Amino acid sequence: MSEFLETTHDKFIFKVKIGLYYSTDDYWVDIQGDQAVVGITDYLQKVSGDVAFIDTAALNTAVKQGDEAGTIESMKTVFGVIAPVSGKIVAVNPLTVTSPFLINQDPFDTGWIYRVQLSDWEADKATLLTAESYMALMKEKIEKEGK
Amino acid sequence: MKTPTGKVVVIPCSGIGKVYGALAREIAYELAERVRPDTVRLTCLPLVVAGDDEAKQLVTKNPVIAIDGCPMNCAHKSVESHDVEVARSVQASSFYAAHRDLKPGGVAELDETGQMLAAVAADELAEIVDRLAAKGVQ
Repeated sequence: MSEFLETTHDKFIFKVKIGLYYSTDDYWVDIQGDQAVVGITDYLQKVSGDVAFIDTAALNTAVKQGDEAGTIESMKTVFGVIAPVSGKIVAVNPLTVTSPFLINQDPFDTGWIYRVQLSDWEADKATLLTAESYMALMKEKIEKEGK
Repeated sequence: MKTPTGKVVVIPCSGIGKVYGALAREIAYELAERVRPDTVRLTCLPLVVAGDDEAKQLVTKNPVIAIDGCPMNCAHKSVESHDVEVARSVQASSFYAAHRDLKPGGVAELDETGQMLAAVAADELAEIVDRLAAKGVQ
């Protein structure tokens, strides 16, 4: 069985990884014990275009859900990294700093952005979506983009 | 060791729909038409992939600079698939990283800023072209 849900729109295949949590801002969260790994979704990387630079908040920075935890500059736009969960940043992916295109190439795996020590997971979880729910939201966004 | 021929082959990305692909091609044109017209020879990446005799001879007998538009490195890998070692592999994005005031735009055709970045990049690659042309490559 595939580890992804997929939907095709025009020539593009949009993937959503099963088993992760998703914010409505198009970030994913992979819960690993009392920590979480954070990245952007396949949908967000596709609509944003090739990533040129990423600046992530410094190590040990405390972020709350909804805070800006950095910026991503793509060839089309500059946008904030919206923290999907609260906690302290304990690691930043060095590969995405030196090779930002990894965020486009492999957004759910090697293109992860940062790791956070969770501080309020139960509260954060209430606002996040499952892969199935996010897929429905993503399809709505794709439809809107197409209009 | 290849015998120095005084020529250097530049093979840019053939990707479509991506600004770095367009940038890679523009850098190659700048090198071949303005910066080192007597030294740089261009060939078409699909010809190399297809195994065209003339393209294969070019990359076999001369040092090759591959300019890729993304980390898929298609230009680099396609040359190496013919058991030819690429003398220098370059990412088009690295020039924007070094010159953040020159953000390229456009896809089918680079915008004015992209053209400026391509010119700067080609000037920066000139020294590498000269070195490879003089020494050949191992």
